[in-house]
Amino acid sequence: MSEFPDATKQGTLKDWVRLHGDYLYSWAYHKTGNREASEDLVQEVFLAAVKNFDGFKHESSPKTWLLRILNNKIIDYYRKSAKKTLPLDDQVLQFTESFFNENGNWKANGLEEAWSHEANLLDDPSFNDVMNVCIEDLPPRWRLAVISKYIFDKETLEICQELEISKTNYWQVLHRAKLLLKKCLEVNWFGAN
Amino acid sequence: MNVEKVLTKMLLSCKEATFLIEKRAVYPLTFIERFRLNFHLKLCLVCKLYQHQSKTIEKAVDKWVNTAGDPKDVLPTETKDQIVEKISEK
Repeated sequence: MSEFPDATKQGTLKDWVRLHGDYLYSWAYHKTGNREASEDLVQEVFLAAVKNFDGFKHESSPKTWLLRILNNKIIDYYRKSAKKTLPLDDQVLQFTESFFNENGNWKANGLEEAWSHEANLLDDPSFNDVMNVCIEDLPPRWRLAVISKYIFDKETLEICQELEISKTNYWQVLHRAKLLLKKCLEVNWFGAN
Repeated sequence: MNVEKVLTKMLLSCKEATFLIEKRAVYPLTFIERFRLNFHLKLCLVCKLYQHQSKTIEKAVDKWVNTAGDPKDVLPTETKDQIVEKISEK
Protein backbone atom coordinates (compact mmCIF):
# COMPACT_ATOMS: atom_id res chain seq x y z
CA MET A 1 0.00 0.00 0.00
CA SER A 2 1.17 3.49 -0.75
CA GLU A 3 2.37 5.69 2.08
CA PHE A 4 0.75 8.71 0.53
CA PRO A 5 -2.81 9.21 -0.65
CA ASP A 6 -2.87 9.73 -4.43
CA ALA A 7 -4.19 13.26 -4.16
CA THR A 8 -1.30 14.39 -1.93
CA LYS A 9 1.22 12.71 -4.16
CA GLN A 10 -0.19 14.30 -7.29
CA GLY A 11 -0.47 17.69 -5.63
CA THR A 12 3.16 17.59 -4.51
CA LEU A 13 4.37 16.58 -7.94
CA LYS A 14 2.35 19.29 -9.64
CA ASP A 15 4.03 21.80 -7.34
CA TRP A 16 7.40 20.35 -8.28
CA VAL A 17 6.65 20.80 -11.98
CA ARG A 18 6.15 24.52 -11.32
CA LEU A 19 9.12 24.76 -8.95
CA HIS A 20 11.75 22.62 -10.68
CA GLY A 21 10.48 22.18 -14.25
CA ASP A 22 12.57 25.03 -15.66
CA TYR A 23 15.73 23.94 -13.88
CA LEU A 24 15.39 20.36 -15.10
CA TYR A 25 14.63 21.55 -18.61
CA SER A 26 17.66 23.84 -18.85
CA TRP A 27 19.82 21.03 -17.41
CA ALA A 28 18.53 18.60 -20.04
CA TYR A 29 18.96 21.16 -22.81
CA HIS A 30 22.53 21.89 -21.74
CA LYS A 31 23.29 18.15 -21.94
CA THR A 32 21.41 17.28 -25.14
CA GLY A 33 21.27 20.47 -27.20
CA ASN A 34 17.80 19.38 -28.34
CA ARG A 35 14.71 21.27 -27.16
CA GLU A 36 12.13 18.70 -28.13
CA ALA A 37 14.06 15.86 -26.55
CA SER A 38 14.56 17.93 -23.39
CA GLU A 39 10.83 18.53 -23.03
CA ASP A 40 10.21 14.80 -23.42
CA LEU A 41 12.91 13.98 -20.90
CA VAL A 42 11.46 16.32 -18.28
CA GLN A 43 8.03 14.82 -18.82
CA GLU A 44 9.46 11.32 -18.40
CA VAL A 45 11.17 12.41 -15.17
CA PHE A 46 7.89 13.53 -13.62
CA LEU A 47 6.01 10.44 -14.74
CA ALA A 48 8.74 8.26 -13.27
CA ALA A 49 8.57 10.37 -10.11
CA VAL A 50 4.83 9.70 -9.75
CA LYS A 51 5.49 6.00 -10.08
CA ASN A 52 8.37 5.94 -7.60
CA PHE A 53 7.14 8.61 -5.23
CA ASP A 54 7.14 6.21 -2.28
CA GLY A 55 10.83 5.64 -2.89
CA PHE A 56 11.55 9.32 -2.22
CA LYS A 57 12.75 9.35 1.36
CA HIS A 58 13.20 13.05 1.94
CA GLU A 59 16.89 12.35 2.59
CA SER A 60 17.74 14.43 -0.43
CA SER A 61 15.97 17.53 -1.64
CA PRO A 62 13.24 16.97 -4.26
CA LYS A 63 15.41 18.84 -6.76
CA THR A 64 18.36 16.46 -6.22
CA TRP A 65 16.10 13.45 -6.44
CA LEU A 66 14.52 14.64 -9.70
CA LEU A 67 17.94 15.51 -11.10
CA ARG A 68 19.17 12.00 -10.40
CA ILE A 69 16.21 10.57 -12.35
CA LEU A 70 16.90 13.07 -15.15
CA ASN A 71 20.57 12.08 -15.42
CA ASN A 72 19.57 8.45 -15.89
CA LYS A 73 17.10 9.50 -18.58
CA ILE A 74 19.81 11.54 -20.32
CA ILE A 75 22.07 8.48 -20.40
CA ASP A 76 19.22 6.45 -21.91
CA TYR A 77 18.76 9.18 -24.49
CA TYR A 78 22.47 9.07 -25.46
CA ARG A 79 22.41 5.29 -25.55
CA LYS A 80 19.50 5.31 -27.97
CA SER A 81 21.10 7.96 -30.22
CA ALA A 82 24.38 6.02 -30.13
CA LYS A 83 22.61 2.98 -31.56
CA LYS A 84 21.09 5.09 -34.33
CA THR A 85 24.41 6.62 -35.39
CA LEU A 86 26.56 3.49 -35.66
CA PRO A 87 27.86 4.31 -39.20
CA LEU A 88 29.70 7.29 -37.68
CA ASP A 89 32.05 4.91 -35.88
CA ASP A 90 34.24 4.29 -38.92
CA GLN A 91 34.57 8.00 -39.62
CA VAL A 92 35.69 8.69 -36.06
CA LEU A 93 38.24 5.88 -36.19
CA GLN A 94 39.65 7.12 -39.47
CA PHE A 95 39.79 10.71 -38.25
CA THR A 96 41.58 9.87 -35.01
CA GLU A 97 43.96 7.52 -36.88
CA SER A 98 45.02 10.50 -38.96
CA PHE A 99 46.58 12.16 -35.88
CA PHE A 100 49.29 9.47 -35.95
CA ASN A 101 51.80 8.43 -38.58
CA GLU A 102 52.15 4.93 -40.01
CA ASN A 103 54.12 3.81 -36.94
CA GLY A 104 51.44 5.00 -34.56
CA ASN A 105 53.44 8.00 -33.42
CA TRP A 106 52.18 11.58 -33.19
CA LYS A 107 52.12 13.87 -36.15
CA ALA A 108 52.93 16.83 -33.91
CA ASN A 109 51.07 20.04 -34.75
CA GLY A 110 53.07 22.54 -32.69
CA LEU A 111 50.11 23.41 -30.47
CA GLU A 112 50.89 20.90 -27.71
CA GLU A 113 52.89 23.35 -25.61
CA ALA A 114 50.18 26.01 -25.72
CA TRP A 115 48.10 23.91 -23.31
CA SER A 116 50.66 24.33 -20.54
CA HIS A 117 50.79 28.08 -20.81
CA GLU A 118 47.31 28.69 -19.49
CA ALA A 119 47.09 27.80 -15.85
CA ASN A 120 43.57 29.05 -15.23
CA LEU A 121 42.08 27.82 -18.45
CA LEU A 122 38.89 26.51 -16.86
CA ASP A 123 38.09 29.88 -15.31
CA ASP A 124 37.91 31.44 -18.73
CA PRO A 125 34.25 31.54 -19.82
CA SER A 126 35.16 31.64 -23.50
CA PHE A 127 37.24 28.47 -23.12
CA ASN A 128 34.25 26.76 -21.52
CA ASP A 129 32.08 27.93 -24.42
CA VAL A 130 34.46 26.26 -26.86
CA MET A 131 34.48 23.15 -24.66
CA ASN A 132 30.66 23.09 -24.82
CA VAL A 133 30.75 23.10 -28.59
CA CYS A 134 33.39 20.36 -28.65
CA ILE A 135 31.39 18.10 -26.33
CA GLU A 136 28.23 18.73 -28.32
CA ASP A 137 30.12 17.83 -31.49
CA LEU A 138 31.12 14.44 -30.11
CA PRO A 139 29.02 11.68 -31.65
CA PRO A 140 26.69 10.18 -28.96
CA ARG A 141 28.71 7.03 -28.33
CA TRP A 142 31.86 9.00 -27.51
CA ARG A 143 30.05 11.64 -25.56
CA LEU A 144 28.40 8.93 -23.50
CA ALA A 145 31.73 7.30 -22.63
CA VAL A 146 33.42 10.55 -21.69
CA ILE A 147 30.69 11.97 -19.49
CA SER A 148 29.40 8.74 -17.92
CA LYS A 149 32.19 8.75 -15.37
CA TYR A 150 30.95 12.09 -14.03
CA ILE A 151 27.24 11.53 -14.46
CA PHE A 152 27.18 8.16 -12.72
CA ASP A 153 30.02 8.71 -10.30
CA LYS A 154 30.57 4.95 -10.40
CA GLU A 155 33.37 2.44 -10.90
CA THR A 156 34.45 1.37 -14.39
CA LEU A 157 32.80 -2.03 -14.14
CA GLU A 158 29.42 -0.54 -13.33
CA ILE A 159 29.76 2.07 -16.07
CA CYS A 160 30.48 -0.71 -18.59
CA GLN A 161 27.37 -2.53 -17.45
CA GLU A 162 25.34 0.65 -17.85
CA LEU A 163 26.79 1.24 -21.31
CA GLU A 164 26.52 -2.43 -22.24
CA ILE A 165 30.13 -2.61 -23.45
CA SER A 166 33.23 -4.53 -22.40
CA LYS A 167 35.99 -2.91 -20.37
CA THR A 168 38.44 -2.96 -23.29
CA ASN A 169 35.85 -1.41 -25.52
CA TYR A 170 35.19 1.30 -22.93
CA TRP A 171 38.87 2.25 -22.76
CA GLN A 172 39.08 2.35 -26.53
CA VAL A 173 36.05 4.59 -26.87
CA LEU A 174 37.33 6.81 -24.06
CA HIS A 175 40.71 7.10 -25.78
CA ARG A 176 39.18 8.09 -29.12
CA ALA A 177 36.81 10.54 -27.45
CA LYS A 178 39.74 12.24 -25.73
CA LEU A 179 41.62 12.47 -29.01
CA LEU A 180 38.59 14.08 -30.64
CA LEU A 181 38.23 16.60 -27.83
CA LYS A 182 41.93 17.42 -27.91
CA LYS A 183 41.76 18.02 -31.64
CA CYS A 184 38.62 20.13 -31.39
CA LEU A 185 40.13 22.32 -28.66
CA GLU A 186 43.35 22.73 -30.59
CA VAL A 187 41.54 23.80 -33.73
CA ASN A 188 38.99 26.06 -32.05
CA TRP A 189 40.90 27.42 -29.07
CA PHE A 190 44.65 26.97 -29.02
CA GLY A 191 45.06 27.40 -32.76
CA ALA A 192 42.61 30.29 -32.91
CA ASN A 193 44.10 32.33 -30.06
CA MET B 1 68.24 -12.03 -27.77
CA ASN B 2 68.63 -9.17 -30.21
CA VAL B 3 68.84 -5.78 -28.41
CA GLU B 4 66.75 -3.95 -30.96
CA LYS B 5 63.97 -6.50 -30.63
CA VAL B 6 63.93 -6.04 -26.88
CA LEU B 7 63.78 -2.27 -27.22
CA THR B 8 60.95 -2.40 -29.75
CA LYS B 9 59.02 -4.60 -27.40
CA MET B 10 59.57 -2.25 -24.50
CA LEU B 11 58.74 0.94 -26.36
CA LEU B 12 55.18 1.75 -27.18
CA SER B 13 53.89 3.78 -30.07
CA CYS B 14 52.31 7.12 -29.13
CA LYS B 15 48.93 5.68 -30.01
CA GLU B 16 49.43 2.83 -27.55
CA ALA B 17 50.91 5.12 -24.92
CA THR B 18 47.98 7.55 -25.03
CA PHE B 19 45.62 4.59 -24.85
CA LEU B 20 47.33 3.45 -21.64
CA ILE B 21 47.16 6.98 -20.24
CA GLU B 22 43.38 6.89 -20.71
CA LYS B 23 43.08 3.37 -19.35
CA ARG B 24 45.10 4.33 -16.29
CA ALA B 25 42.64 7.13 -15.52
CA VAL B 26 39.85 4.59 -14.96
CA TYR B 27 41.55 1.26 -14.29
CA PRO B 28 44.84 0.07 -12.81
CA LEU B 29 47.54 -0.85 -15.34
CA THR B 30 49.42 -4.13 -15.17
CA PHE B 31 53.05 -4.05 -14.11
CA ILE B 32 54.26 -4.45 -17.69
CA GLU B 33 51.93 -1.74 -18.97
CA ARG B 34 53.10 0.65 -16.29
CA PHE B 35 56.72 -0.09 -17.04
CA ARG B 36 56.31 0.40 -20.79
CA LEU B 37 54.28 3.59 -20.36
CA ASN B 38 56.79 5.16 -17.97
CA PHE B 39 59.59 4.24 -20.31
CA HIS B 40 57.77 5.82 -23.24
CA LEU B 41 56.99 8.98 -21.26
CA LYS B 42 60.66 9.43 -20.38
CA LEU B 43 61.47 9.66 -24.06
CA CYS B 44 58.42 11.27 -25.63
CA LEU B 45 57.65 14.93 -24.95
CA VAL B 46 54.42 15.02 -26.97
CA CYS B 47 52.93 12.17 -24.92
CA LYS B 48 54.12 13.80 -21.72
CA LEU B 49 52.23 16.91 -22.76
CA TYR B 50 49.27 14.73 -23.69
CA GLN B 51 49.05 13.56 -20.07
CA HIS B 52 48.57 17.14 -19.01
CA GLN B 53 46.08 17.83 -21.81
CA SER B 54 44.09 14.76 -20.89
CA LYS B 55 43.79 15.94 -17.29
CA THR B 56 42.69 19.39 -18.43
CA ILE B 57 40.03 17.80 -20.64
CA GLU B 58 38.85 15.63 -17.71
CA LYS B 59 38.40 18.70 -15.54
CA ALA B 60 36.58 20.54 -18.32
CA VAL B 61 34.23 17.60 -18.89
CA ASP B 62 33.55 17.32 -15.15
CA LYS B 63 32.73 21.01 -15.13
CA TRP B 64 30.48 20.65 -18.16
CA VAL B 65 28.56 17.74 -16.61
CA ASN B 66 28.05 19.59 -13.34
CA THR B 67 27.12 22.95 -14.77
CA ALA B 68 23.47 23.87 -14.72
CA GLY B 69 21.84 25.00 -17.92
CA ASP B 70 21.16 28.57 -18.90
CA PRO B 71 18.28 29.91 -16.73
CA LYS B 72 16.99 31.60 -19.89
CA ASP B 73 16.06 28.16 -21.24
CA VAL B 74 12.68 27.56 -19.67
CA LEU B 75 10.18 24.77 -20.08
CA PRO B 76 7.29 26.12 -22.21
CA THR B 77 4.12 26.72 -20.19
CA GLU B 78 2.09 24.41 -22.46
CA THR B 79 4.48 21.58 -21.72
CA LYS B 80 4.22 22.21 -17.99
CA ASP B 81 0.43 22.13 -18.26
CA GLN B 82 0.66 18.92 -20.25
CA ILE B 83 2.83 17.29 -17.62
CA VAL B 84 0.53 18.43 -14.82
CA GLU B 85 -2.40 16.94 -16.72
CA LYS B 86 -0.60 13.64 -17.19
CA ILE B 87 0.20 13.51 -13.49
CA SER B 88 -3.52 13.83 -12.74
CA GLU B 89 -4.25 10.86 -15.00
CA LYS B 90 -1.84 8.65 -13.10
